[in-house]
Amino acid sequence: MRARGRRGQPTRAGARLAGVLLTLALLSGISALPALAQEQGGEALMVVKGVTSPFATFGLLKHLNGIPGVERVDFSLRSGVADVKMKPGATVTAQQLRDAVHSAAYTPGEIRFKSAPTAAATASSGQ
Amino acid sequence: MAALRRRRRLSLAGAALLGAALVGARPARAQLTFPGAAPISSGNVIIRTQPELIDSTNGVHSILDKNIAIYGASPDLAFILQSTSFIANSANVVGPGGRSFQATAAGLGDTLLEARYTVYQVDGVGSTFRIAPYIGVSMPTGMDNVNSDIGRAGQPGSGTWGSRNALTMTYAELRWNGGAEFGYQANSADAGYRFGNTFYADAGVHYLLWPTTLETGVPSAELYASLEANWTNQVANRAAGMNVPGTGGQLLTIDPGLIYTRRLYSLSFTALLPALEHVRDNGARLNYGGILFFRYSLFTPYHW
Repeated sequence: MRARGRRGQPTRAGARLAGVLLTLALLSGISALPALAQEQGGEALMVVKGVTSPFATFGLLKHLNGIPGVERVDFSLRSGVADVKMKPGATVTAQQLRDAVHSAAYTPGEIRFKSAPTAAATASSGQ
Repeated sequence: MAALRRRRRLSLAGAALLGAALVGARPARAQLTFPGAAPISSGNVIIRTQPELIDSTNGVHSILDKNIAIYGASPDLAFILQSTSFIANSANVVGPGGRSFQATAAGLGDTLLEARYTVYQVDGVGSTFRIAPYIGVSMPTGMDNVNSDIGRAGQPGSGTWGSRNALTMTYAELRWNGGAEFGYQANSADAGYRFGNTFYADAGVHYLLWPTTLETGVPSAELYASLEANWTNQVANRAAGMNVPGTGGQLLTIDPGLIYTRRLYSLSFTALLPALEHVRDNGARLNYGGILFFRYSLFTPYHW
């Protein structure tokens, strides 16, 4: 994806092209990225907006834990980040995570996959 | 004939004394006593029970328990079912010859079914602002002829259908939250008796006392201080085309309280202190009230 010069350094034009492609991907929303967001195993960090008290986390954790393949969910009230750990070999998509947060009556934010067996993918909900 | 006249006099006296107490016995719901526009996850079922004690002048006392079930049908739509049980609704009644005695009525009250839909929502990390209207119907499931000595207004059930519509808004952050509610309850007539329609407005603020600093993760428990205000303006009840003496009026209460909340359940208490009160005729005035709340979260996979 990155254009390179003769010495293996990114050219200015190549950097511009990468920037344009990244912008287009972000503007088009997450719909362009589900293929990248599908991971097996590993761990996903997701920003959840709108959660303000321990009582409010009940429904959120129920919906996230209800996703097939999720082994454990930890949530930080202060940062609003849910740490979703998947079972080895299980598959979960960014869209599944987003749907779970919507069902819990909250707003999903950025999703980042960690410890993926392939290249890590970063997705943004655009909200 | 004499017995009939005596019963009629007792009923009128009871109605006069208990009429204004209805303002206290059926107070407007505030943020503490009602979820307002706070998020309810789809599939989330919240069971709440609210024992209440209301003490007014003229020997008017009410001890009741409200049981409420809240069901999140979808992320935006919730249904609320509320039933009330009156353990005791009593008042000093003046009988023939000026003899005074205490009459009490107890039993099941009316049932309220409401639907809430979130029409506006802005969420941030650790904050949310939501607006949600309610529409509801009050069903005459209560016992409206338990003790005729205490009058129609003192019975546990109204015997009439009604509608209750409200607009609520809630803003919440990690350290505090506040909300407001404006509503109107309209009542129909039954056998020539109509309970006065009521307009109500509530506002409330809750501030996190403990823990003083939020670490990572979810605190196992939180303690909030609560301060709310409830205002009701009720039209006088009507019987046979005339105002029932002592019914209707305005009441403003200031309600300090404490809220202890965990992930699964919440326990809170608030006092109802009259700040401004206008009653008609010799209607009973609110001395004080207290409400204890307990709510518990359940989850069902059946939702939209």
